[in-house]
Amino acid sequence: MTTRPTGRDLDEEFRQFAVAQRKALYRVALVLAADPGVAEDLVQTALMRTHARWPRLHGQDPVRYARRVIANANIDRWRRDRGRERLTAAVPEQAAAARQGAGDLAAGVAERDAVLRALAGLTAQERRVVVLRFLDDVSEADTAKALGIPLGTVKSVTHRAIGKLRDSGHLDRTPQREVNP
Amino acid sequence: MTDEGSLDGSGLGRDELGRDELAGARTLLHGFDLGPLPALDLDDVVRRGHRRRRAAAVQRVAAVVVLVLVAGVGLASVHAHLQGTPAAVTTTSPSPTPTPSPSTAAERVAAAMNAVASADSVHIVAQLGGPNGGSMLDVVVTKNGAVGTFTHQAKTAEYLGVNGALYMRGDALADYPTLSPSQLAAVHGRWILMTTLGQSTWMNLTELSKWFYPPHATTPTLGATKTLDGSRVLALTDQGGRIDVQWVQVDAPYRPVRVETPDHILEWTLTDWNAPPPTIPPAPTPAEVYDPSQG
Repeated sequence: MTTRPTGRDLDEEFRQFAVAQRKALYRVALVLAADPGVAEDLVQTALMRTHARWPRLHGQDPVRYARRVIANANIDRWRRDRGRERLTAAVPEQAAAARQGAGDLAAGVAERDAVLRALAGLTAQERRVVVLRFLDDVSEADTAKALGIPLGTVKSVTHRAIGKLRDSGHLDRTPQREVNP
Repeated sequence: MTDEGSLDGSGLGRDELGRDELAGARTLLHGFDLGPLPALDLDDVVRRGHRRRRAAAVQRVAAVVVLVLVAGVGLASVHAHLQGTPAAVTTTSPSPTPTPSPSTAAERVAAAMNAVASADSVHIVAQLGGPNGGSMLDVVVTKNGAVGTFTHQAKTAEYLGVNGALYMRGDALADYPTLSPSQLAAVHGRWILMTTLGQSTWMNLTELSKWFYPPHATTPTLGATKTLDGSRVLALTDQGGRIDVQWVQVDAPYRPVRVETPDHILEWTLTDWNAPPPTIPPAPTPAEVYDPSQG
């Protein structure tokens, strides 16, 4: 007979999950929102809702749930802010980089700045498709199902998004590196 | 799950969007430097998560209350209330004093109310969701309280009305509607105090007597008569019987005996009038009670 975990056990389990996954979740949020401040809020929201749901996520995939919350919360935000959306690729730690004078850090900041500017040039739908296709490695067919759009639309949106990233010049000059989720 | 191979069939053309370019996009998005992660106050996240869970628990328990309430107050009044249906000839305001021989609908209602209020006990079985599934409420209501069970998909919860409060406790609440393990853990096998959420209809016979067309219900109309379990009964219908039919005895003591909806989603019977009432257990101590409104 299995014993039901106590509330404290569940909280501890959730904390471990949050610490382990926050970076990957932040990446998803950042690609979707193209704004570090908004991405931070999305991650907080996703973790809070995942915690609220935590006891019922046993045997399921909490990462998937948290990612879905991020996507939905971003859509809600987009609808709420429609017409007054500001997409900035502000990089608040630029000053810190300058202070530290670390070449790598400065390069990282510049790269991030460029990536966020390129992502900011994508539409909300393009960013959603990009996240599913390239961060979540979801097939075109499943992306179409997840977003409730035709397969052909997924293909054309992917094509357009990649084209924009390419035109931003970023794809070409991004050094190949180990995948770092 | 990737489908790089599907590029061939994408219609985009390998020249336009090649495998390398897709891989480049993937590498870029997976690999770009995120910078320092924003501060995360996990204590605050957990606190807010708990708050959200408590709010959800209250909503779920409230759903049980609605179920009991629907059985308890009759669909007519609930529908009128929920749909904001203007009371057709509203507020019959029946007097609890019995009329010698009720003839109008309002008099029948008054007689039924009085029959309930003046009884010592009655056994009520309410079947919701049709005979092959759903839920069943089986309670004996007395002057001083109510005791019985609520069953949902072979799981049971105890039902206890005492000292002006209604409590429920048991596994059936976990399934209908679902309470999460943590919410059940918070309950810790204690009685859930339903009264804080407004449920009181089946707490005792005085409260039950008010069930028969409360002030916001629409005025019923008299319907057909038939014989049910050996006694002649008369239909009191609401909105032409579209919502429910309540069968009351034609002759004294004019008791309500059965309620049914046209689709038989809800059927409940009142039997065993004035049978020796069961002993109502004492009210649970505060330590034994979980108040969902308090989280």
